[in-house]
Amino acid sequence: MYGMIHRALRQMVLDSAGKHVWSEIEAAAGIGQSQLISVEIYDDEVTLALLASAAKCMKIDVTELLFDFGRYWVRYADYGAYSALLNFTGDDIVTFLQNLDRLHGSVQSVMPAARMPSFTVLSQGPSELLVNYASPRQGLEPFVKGLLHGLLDRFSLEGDVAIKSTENGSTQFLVNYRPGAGQ
Amino acid sequence: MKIELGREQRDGIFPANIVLDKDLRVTALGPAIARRFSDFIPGEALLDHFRPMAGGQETTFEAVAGTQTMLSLQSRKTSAVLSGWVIPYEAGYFLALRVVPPNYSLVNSSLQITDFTPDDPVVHSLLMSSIQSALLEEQRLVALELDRARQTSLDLLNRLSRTSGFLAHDFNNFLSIIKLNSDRLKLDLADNPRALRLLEIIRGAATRGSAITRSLMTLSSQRDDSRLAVSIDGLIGENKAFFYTVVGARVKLELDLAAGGVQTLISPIAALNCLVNLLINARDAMPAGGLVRLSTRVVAVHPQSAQSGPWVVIEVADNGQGMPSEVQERAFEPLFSTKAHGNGLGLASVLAFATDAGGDTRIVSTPGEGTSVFVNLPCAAQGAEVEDGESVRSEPSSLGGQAPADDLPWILVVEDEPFALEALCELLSASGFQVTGASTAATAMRELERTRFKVLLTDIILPGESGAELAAIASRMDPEMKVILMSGYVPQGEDMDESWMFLRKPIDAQVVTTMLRVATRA
Repeated sequence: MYGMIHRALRQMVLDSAGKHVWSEIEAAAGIGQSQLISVEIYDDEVTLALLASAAKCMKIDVTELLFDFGRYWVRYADYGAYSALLNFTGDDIVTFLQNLDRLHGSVQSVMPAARMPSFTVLSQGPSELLVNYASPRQGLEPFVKGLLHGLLDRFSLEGDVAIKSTENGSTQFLVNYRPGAGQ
Repeated sequence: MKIELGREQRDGIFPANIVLDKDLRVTALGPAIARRFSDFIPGEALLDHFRPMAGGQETTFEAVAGTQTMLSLQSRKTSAVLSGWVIPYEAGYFLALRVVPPNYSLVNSSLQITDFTPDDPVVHSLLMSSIQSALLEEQRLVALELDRARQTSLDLLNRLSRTSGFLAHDFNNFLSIIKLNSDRLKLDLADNPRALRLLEIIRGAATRGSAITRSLMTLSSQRDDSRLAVSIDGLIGENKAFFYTVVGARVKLELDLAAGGVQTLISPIAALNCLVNLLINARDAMPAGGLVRLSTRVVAVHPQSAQSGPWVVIEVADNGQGMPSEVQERAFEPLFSTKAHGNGLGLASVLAFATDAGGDTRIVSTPGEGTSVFVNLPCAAQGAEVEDGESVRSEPSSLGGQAPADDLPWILVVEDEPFALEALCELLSASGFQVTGASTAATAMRELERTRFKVLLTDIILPGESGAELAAIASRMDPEMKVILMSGYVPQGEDMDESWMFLRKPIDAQVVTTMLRVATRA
């Protein structure tokens, strides 16, 4: 995976657990500053080792960590220069998810080794969405669940995300939502 | 061909469409226009809000309607620009437009992906350029982060280096005390062979301790290959057996040493490396054997630049295959080599050595006849550093330990370690010097104000003012006074005058007395 993922994970740990925990994670995973370069591609095993070490050091299981990380990823991507890209992609959750593949397509053009997932809005109602997720990687459903929660946060919505079905390498997520307290 | 589109289809395909009546008043707007121009609403006159342009010039609707000419609508209130085609129909005009991005950046832009048709290539371009900008920005932050990490590592190394240096300093102080007191005892126990043997053991242990301090000093980046005043002829003479083995049995080595005892300020180790490199090159130029001539001489002015000297010229000449001019030109270039397995560092290091010593090099070669390499080194001025231990190259021993007939209290010794001060003062007194001791720079200053000294012998690291600061003040007070600084560790940033001498700790009795005799004689 690209080093950007590692940097995001580090920032999440720094924000939530502090510098000493990140130092422990680095030591446990055997990584250092050179594995934190955004546009460098690292073997997925490095990323998985990092996630496993992070879960261990933060005393949570990997599924929970992936969910937290997915949710954090939206916030992380909203930092700095990436913020404009997110704003451009959509100003509501439906539009955003409908256009996410276009954003990913452009990312793929800039970073050809990236293996991007695909999101398709299968149906939408006034308070629910059915989203299909497909990825060349397996086992990241908890991350996607967190990511959809992150989008609910981003658009000031409250709701639940549940896996409706999984077949042929793709997973359907049902998102129920309503305006948040601040709306 | 007539195509009819429902509003949803129309807005989906052309999010930035405008529908006008025949009077150019708005009847309907696409969502991108409605979102971006809030006061441009149905009923408004288009020309009140936009200036129609074509080909960079103002135009009319009649001129472009139904043609292939692209219309630009320039907002009269903002810098926004729309462009597209004017399609006339029975009730007026349908403007199929697109938002023209002001630049290919989304930063501070209110553009939305939905402002563009789904297959508009400008979306991909915009996204790509913005992703690249974002990545560049992130890489800038990464670079700053890496730089901070590097700086942190450097700081840690510096701290470790300083700690090692100060450890070396303290350790050297104790070794000095052991060595100096061993020498004092030696005088008292001259007729007791067993005690003398034990003293030798103690002294030997102190000398081995010096090796540990040298390791610490290497760790603290203190130069261990000090530049010394060295007689080149002496150095070659001492190592000639080694040089014969370097050139091998097929090559005859002739020495012609005419520099006498003239000294140059160089690192002996680096000088040896330089000579060995030159001899290896000469040997390699003569695979079938030949003659190498290593000669030295002293010239009053630099052979090429005519800069006044004197200069010591070292020449290594062979009668090998020589080299063409294009190879000569690059001979001293790092990593340049014509040898099959050459690393191109030999002559480059020769040049580095000569330059470091304030000199230079020259090569003269004739293909088929041979090559001569010249190393020009400036002769040493007074104030050269003298190495401690057993390998002293200064040769003032002809004075035979006789102190100059002068009633001045010659030597002011400043040393904060009381045992070392006591041992040093007693040793120097026993060697015929008049000595005054001081344990701080402040005490030393009081002595300097009261008395003229021939030599200030001071430790560098002292509580409060450093030895170097004390020496600077003392030199201003009495420019004729000689200064010898002593330390096992020279902290970075100390301002050292070139005329001062330096004595490395742990102090050897013979070295310090020899230096003092040189200083008092001068």
